[in-house]
Amino acid sequence: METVAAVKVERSELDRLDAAVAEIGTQSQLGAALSMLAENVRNGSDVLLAGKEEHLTPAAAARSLGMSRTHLYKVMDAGELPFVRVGRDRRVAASDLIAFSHGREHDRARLAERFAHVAPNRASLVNALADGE
Amino acid sequence: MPQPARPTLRCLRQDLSEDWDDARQRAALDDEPAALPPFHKLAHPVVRHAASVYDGTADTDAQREGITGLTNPMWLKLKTGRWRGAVWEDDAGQPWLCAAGLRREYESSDFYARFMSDVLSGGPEQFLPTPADRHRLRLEQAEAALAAWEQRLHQDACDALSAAHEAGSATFAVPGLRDGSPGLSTADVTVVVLDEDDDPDGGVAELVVAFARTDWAHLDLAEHADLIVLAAVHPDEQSWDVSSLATGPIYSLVMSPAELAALLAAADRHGTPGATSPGATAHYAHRGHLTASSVNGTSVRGLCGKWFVPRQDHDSMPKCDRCDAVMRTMKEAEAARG
Repeated sequence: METVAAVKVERSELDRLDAAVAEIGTQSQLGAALSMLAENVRNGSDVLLAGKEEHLTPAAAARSLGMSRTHLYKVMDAGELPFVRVGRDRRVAASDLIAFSHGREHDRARLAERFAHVAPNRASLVNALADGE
Repeated sequence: MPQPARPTLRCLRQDLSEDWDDARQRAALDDEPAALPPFHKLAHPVVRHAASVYDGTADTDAQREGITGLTNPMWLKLKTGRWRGAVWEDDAGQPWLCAAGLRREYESSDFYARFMSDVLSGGPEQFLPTPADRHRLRLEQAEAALAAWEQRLHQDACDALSAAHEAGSATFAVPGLRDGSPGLSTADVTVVVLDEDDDPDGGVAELVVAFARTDWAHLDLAEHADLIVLAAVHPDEQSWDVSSLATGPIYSLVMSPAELAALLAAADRHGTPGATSPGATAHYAHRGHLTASSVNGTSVRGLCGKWFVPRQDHDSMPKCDRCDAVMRTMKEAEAARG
């Protein structure tokens, strides 16, 4: 699996990718996929590219999520990210990794809201406590 | 647990017409009483004196003097400068400053003369605390209990950070709000320094703060506790990442090992619990999303990938570099397409 970090892609690289897309044409599945890759990078979205049946080592999975293996093992142990055992080691299906990564966006959105609403939420706690709840 | 003597709302609004140290407090009584400090701390000489004489403990009995001629209930005298007051204690031992006025000897407007005649003619109920007074007292007690709990949690978190700085990891229990209530979560703080095999870009460290919920019945409080702990570690809201697991959330920070070590060493037990900052840069986001977000207080994803709730004056802040770069690329692409 490859992680394309949008921020690290140079402008000139994108231009060459555009040229390749133009040459292949977007009627081609491959051309359409490459066009989508360019579009995402241009919009600042990182892209994960993986074979459908591909499985990753914990180190590679952790790297692509931008977290430590310690963190990743906690996530796997909590049942949040499925894995298969290969002997004593673990492997993560690329599709599961992408699904997990997608789900984290919701957690992040909610954390931002909890930070922003800490004052009214705290006031609700005080009210509930005063009312003996 | 009684508080020091506190004025009733009626006493504050009707009797204390002058001598306020802080006139804004007098104004707030009518406009926004919720914003006022605890009533026994209001800035008026007779309030201050009542709170110091009847401080909620029983050992002040010696100073008690009843108002002669009034027995059911009994009213206690209060004297400071020109001010006179009448204090009543409820069954729970909570003293209330129920009435106050100025001393004017030999005049019918003298406080004690007028108070006695009002009680004898209209009954004592007109001066006793109302349900609104009792609700306000409960709110103040709840606020004090929550603040004390936050303070303790903040200190526990700072101790755990210092321990993690030394030993690489530390665990502590997030206590419940009441004595004897079950703990809300177990918090596990781990410092992970990725060695260079793991990270081709060189030194990166991650701080993982994992909460395992132990009391699901008070989830709002447990989630508030999470934020107190995060604020004790690092006040910058946008530097935190999160994964929500079935056992509880895992929060994490990624930075250089040196930055992380400095952060852990700087944990300040004396800091303000829960103090965070929403971020120092302005992000770009889809305009339509921004409008809905400002109205509803929901979060929106910036072009850089960070989530935020627009609540600051973004014009006065520097732009986020990453958002700005994405914005430029998008504009150039649009221009190229014509």
